[in-house]
Amino acid sequence: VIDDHHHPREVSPVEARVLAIEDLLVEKGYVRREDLDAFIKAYEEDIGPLNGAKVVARAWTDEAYKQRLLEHGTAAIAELGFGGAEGDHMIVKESTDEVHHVVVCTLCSCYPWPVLGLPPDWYKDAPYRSRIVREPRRLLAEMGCEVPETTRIEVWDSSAGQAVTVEVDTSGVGAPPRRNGELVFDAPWQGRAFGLCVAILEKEGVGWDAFRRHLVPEIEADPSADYYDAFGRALDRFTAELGLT
Amino acid sequence: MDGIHDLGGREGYGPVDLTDDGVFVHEWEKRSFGLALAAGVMGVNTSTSQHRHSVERMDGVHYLTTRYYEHWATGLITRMVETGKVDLAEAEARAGGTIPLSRAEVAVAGETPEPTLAAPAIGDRVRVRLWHPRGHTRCPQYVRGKVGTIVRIDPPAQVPDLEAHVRTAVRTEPICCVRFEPAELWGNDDGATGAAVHVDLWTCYLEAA
Repeated sequence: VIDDHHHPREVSPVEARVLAIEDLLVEKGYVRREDLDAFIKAYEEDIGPLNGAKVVARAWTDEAYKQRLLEHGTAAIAELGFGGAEGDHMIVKESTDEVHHVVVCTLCSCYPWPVLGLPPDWYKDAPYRSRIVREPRRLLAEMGCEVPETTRIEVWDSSAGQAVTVEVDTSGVGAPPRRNGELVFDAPWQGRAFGLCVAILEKEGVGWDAFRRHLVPEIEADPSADYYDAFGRALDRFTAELGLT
Repeated sequence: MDGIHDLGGREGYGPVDLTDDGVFVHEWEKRSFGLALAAGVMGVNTSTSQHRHSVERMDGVHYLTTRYYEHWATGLITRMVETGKVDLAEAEARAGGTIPLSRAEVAVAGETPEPTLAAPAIGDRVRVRLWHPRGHTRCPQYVRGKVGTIVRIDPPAQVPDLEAHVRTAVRTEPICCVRFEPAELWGNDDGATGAAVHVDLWTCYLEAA
């Protein structure tokens, strides 16, 4: 890879190690480079927080689905076609005015890949993993998420790996969450599926309302249509508007 | 093992760094991730437990001063050398420098107890076994010896303490999600006020309270 560059750059020791090992394993026939490329591509392009966003969007508009999601998370998520590695056993928690759920893996980085994709750096690093179990309210505030004193915090350490927890805000079914804006969508670090989705979009410098301008007309255009479809169409328009597609 | 990876409740790591919330920052991190996913296919790891333990065995200073996918790469290279897939000298020659490996396993045979709870049930009060196994475990230090309440029971799964060490037999046990009140874990620490912590624990980690 590095040799292909017309202007060779400095290769860090760890990079040299990883590339050397990959080359050796490929040469010895233990793995094919195209298989590695395919694994990586899948997680870069197909498996990410938009999957979780679709799950939450469905729960907003379909009370029966929401109940299935809260009772049998893995099965309900599989209804939308999502599952697989690190998602063998997914549990969904609902945040409300009374309780705010937060998820961590103190021992490594267990995370529900099928619906949230791979975890970001901060989720895997020592500060979050050490502090969130001991001082969650203080840490969340530092991270920009002020949980009101009247809201209880419940921490879930998914130490068993296969029992990872997807924590979503499904309150306010059929509409954006009751505290539209700040609490839900300005806080991607809360580990919420939809929050992460919107965080990606917010990298473009736009907020939830900008997306909702596309979402509401899509719902109104065909109220009988699957909300999942409307959400997807709205997202297509939204990303096109941003020049992302 | 009471390794550097067992971070719950530790102090001194500072604020969370949110500057890079992407998944892969460097190109080599993608390759490290892909290789780790392929480890099972390559016969390098027989379980996720084995992969996790290869990372936990890293030198503590190396662990804390490197990015996450360097942990995976280190564990993976260690397993490749341990399984004879790759010769360390050959790999170091190819990489143009030394390659730090994780430390050797020190698991003690028989240190994983048989479960003592005959039929754990939701609502049961349980105490986490106060123990310090030298091998792999998914029983975090910060809950050992603490009393909590079972709030959910998940289907039986392989006990990772056994699964991580291929020379020992494997067995499955239900996983109990145990709720710990903050005062039980942290005393009267004001930062912890009001926040219960739930931890998923294999049955053999628990005793009747």
